[in-house]
Order: sequence, then C-alpha cells, then structure tokens
Amino acid sequence: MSGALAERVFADKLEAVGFTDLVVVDRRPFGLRDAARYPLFTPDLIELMHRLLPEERQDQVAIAITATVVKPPSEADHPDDTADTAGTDPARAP
Amino acid sequence: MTRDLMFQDEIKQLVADAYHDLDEPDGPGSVFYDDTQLARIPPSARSWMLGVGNPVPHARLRPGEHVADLGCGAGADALLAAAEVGDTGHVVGVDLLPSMVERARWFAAEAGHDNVEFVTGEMESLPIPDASVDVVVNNGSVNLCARKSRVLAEAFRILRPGGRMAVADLTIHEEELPAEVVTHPSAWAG
Repeated sequence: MSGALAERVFADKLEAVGFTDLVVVDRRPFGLRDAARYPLFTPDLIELMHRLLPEERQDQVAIAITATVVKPPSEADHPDDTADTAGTDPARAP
Repeated sequence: MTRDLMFQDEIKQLVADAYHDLDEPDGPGSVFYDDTQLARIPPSARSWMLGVGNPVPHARLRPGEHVADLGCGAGADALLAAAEVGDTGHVVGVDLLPSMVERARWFAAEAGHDNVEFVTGEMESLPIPDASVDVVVNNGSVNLCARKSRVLAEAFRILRPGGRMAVADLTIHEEELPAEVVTHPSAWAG
C-alpha cells in the first residue's frame, strides 16, 4: 500500500505510456478490516493504522479499483516514428 | 549504484521476502469472485488468492486469445483466463518469485490446463516478446513495484496494437497516510 498511487496519478501514468480509453469499471473501499485479512499486512502495521488513523478513515484506507485500457490499434501514437517513415518510404513519395 | 536505485532494490527485496515467507494464507482475495469462477480454481489454489479485485471478466476474453498475467502469484487469474481462451488460446503468468511460479504450475496441473505456462520474471522487464499478446491482466501488483511507469510501459510493449489490459490495484486518497504507516516495511508488501 505504500506504493499505491492516487487514482488520478495512476490514470496519468497509463496514458503517459500510450494507453487510451481508460475506464474505471469498479471502485471498492479498502479498510483496516480488509487489510487485516491479508497476511502481508503484519499485525503491528494494522495496530499502527488503528492508532494513527482517524476513525472515519479506517473504513477506507485505500480504494481498490479495476480499470480497463486499450493499446491504440495503429502506431499513430508514435508521431516521431511516423514522420521518419514518411520521409524515407518510397510508397509515400509523391 | 545511486541512492535511488538502492531504494528500489530495497523495496523489491521487502516485497519478495514478504511473499516468500507466507505460510498458507486463507485466500482474502477470493471474496471478489463469484461461485462460478471459484469452481474453476482448485481449492488449494483459492487460499493463495491475494489480489484486490477481479479483473478477468473485465478483459472480455475470447477463445483463441493470448493473455499475460503480470505478477500472477499462485496463478488464480491465469487459470480463469485459460478457461476463457480455451485450447486455441494461451496464457502466460509472470511472477518475481520462483516459489510462487512453482506453486502456480502445480495448481495449473491440478486444474488440467495445458494452455497456460508460468515463468519467473520481473514486471519491469518482462520475458515476453513485443506485441505478442492480446490481453494483459494484473491484479494488485503494480503498487508493489518501485518503477510503476516502467511496468506499465512493459505491459504496453507486449500488447499487440488494439490489445487491452484489465488491471485491479489499490489506490490511495490524495491526502497522504501518516509517515509512520507509509514507511512501515510491511506497508510496501501489502
């Protein structure tokens, strides 16, 4: 969870590498009770979060999202490559 | 090695150690799946379901498609995908831990799937050729990686043009968690 991003940042990173058509299809609150079911959250971390987080925050420490994205169907997402090809491809010559 | 790279290695080691030391969890991630899906997963594999969502149905898999499950763990989502794409399709699961890959292979054999393979590898440097899969699925592992943009770029690289990805992961609120929580070692693995 320390490595989790804000949803907006996650979306920005998906788009930055070239993905399109982002749709967040599911959002579920992930609270301390959820975290406690995962053995990767050690008991001392759960206790620490119980102690430090305000009660109203304990039911939604994080949000589990599910999202879908698409890789564009053409290479048009790399305009520099297209420009280079257009300059050397005989088929594109006038 | 720069200080930044050392920090990335420390994160990777923390995550690897946490998953390596797991002793028969009770499948907390199984709560996201319906009975029909769970029936396709061997009971022994259900206890190793550690994801934070159920991305496979959102991938809308079709028979014959090639799928990669990144950070596959013990392989539950890969097994579901294998059932969806059928004998003419193929699924490859990639996980950092050899022990988890061995576990996934065992569960795949138990489920009777011949169209799925599991390999050890890092999500930041996938052992999968360019533009070779139709679909990427990922369940709860991007947040475990120090170089997230690199992971997403690798997913983009291995997808064929027009391919799609269904990803489930934890996100946080804009306001940060207390520093004592964020810097706790097990907060990197959970």
